[in-house]
Amino acid sequence: MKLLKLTISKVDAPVFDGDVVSVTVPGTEGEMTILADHTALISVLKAGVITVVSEGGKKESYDSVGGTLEISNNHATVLI
Amino acid sequence: MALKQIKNKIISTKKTGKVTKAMEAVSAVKMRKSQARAFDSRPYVHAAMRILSRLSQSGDITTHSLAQKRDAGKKLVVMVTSDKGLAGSVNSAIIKTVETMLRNGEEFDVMTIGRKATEFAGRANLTVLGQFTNVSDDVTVADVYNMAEVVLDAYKKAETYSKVEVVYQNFISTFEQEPTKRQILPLDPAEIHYIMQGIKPKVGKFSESVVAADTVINYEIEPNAAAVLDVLIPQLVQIMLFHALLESKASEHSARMVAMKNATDKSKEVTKSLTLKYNKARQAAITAEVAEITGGMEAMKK
Repeated sequence: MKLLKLTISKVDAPVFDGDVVSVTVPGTEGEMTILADHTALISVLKAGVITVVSEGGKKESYDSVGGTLEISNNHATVLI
Repeated sequence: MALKQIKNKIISTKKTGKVTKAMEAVSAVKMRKSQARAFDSRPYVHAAMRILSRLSQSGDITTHSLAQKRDAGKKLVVMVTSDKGLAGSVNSAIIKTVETMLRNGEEFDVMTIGRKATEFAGRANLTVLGQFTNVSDDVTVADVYNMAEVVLDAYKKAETYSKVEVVYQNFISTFEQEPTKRQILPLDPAEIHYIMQGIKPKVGKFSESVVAADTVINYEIEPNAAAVLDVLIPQLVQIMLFHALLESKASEHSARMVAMKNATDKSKEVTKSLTLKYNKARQAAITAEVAEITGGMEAMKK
């Protein structure tokens, strides 16, 4: 199964960096789950929880107070 | 000088030397930490730049209220200094820069970060919009968030400010820092690029630059460019302030390290010359005593 490269960064430190199965983010227009090979996208996030599903089904959650999301070339970057 | 006095002076000089040596070591560690933190924030800045450069292609960026140039109005200057002294000329250089602006007749209000800047603003009778002291070496987002809030509020609320500038010590290398003035608002992509390259010593561990691949991809923007910019620009303001803080922390620590090294060297030198003086005085005392004794013996012979 193809994995998605995910980078979650805060201003002062990287939060997460690695390959994941999916990531669920709170978009302003509603929650969205991003899988591998997502189309290039820039979007705004609202406050909520970011859920990362790693290979093997392990789930990790990160709180966020809003931010931006960028996806290109199977690489998602979340700035919180 | 009496023997006893010289001895006491030697002891106190040695003690001062020990203190400055300890401060030098502490500053060296703190300096490396500040550099490492600046390095940690690189991925964030690169991603933010990527998004911004994509959005700026669409032309929406120049119409955003936080990116539009304003003609009239005074400036808001963010002064970044350290809380403590004993760090060579890092703080006085910042203060001198702002004083020059005052002398040139520029009109501005200030926001101060660090106690030295706050004290200066008080002396110079400047209007202070916000003051932050005791910013820890591990600068956190929470610290920066409040500062960015003050800046953005002041800029958005009224059109009194035409520009927001930050004055801080740019870290070039351990031995070289430079007071730098940068524009935060209205947003200028070129300025961010400069700041991103920021805290990067010319040589050494953190000197290699990371170049982001310049690809042209057709992004979907959701919900629209303006909404993304509304979120992204405040984030960029935070980044710029954060970097200014990191740079000034790294500058402060390296300047203090150098100043303390000089103090340690000087204390060694002084100890050496005092010891020489002490030995001379001791020898003189002994010679005088011997002369007295032999003089006494000669007198008794007669």
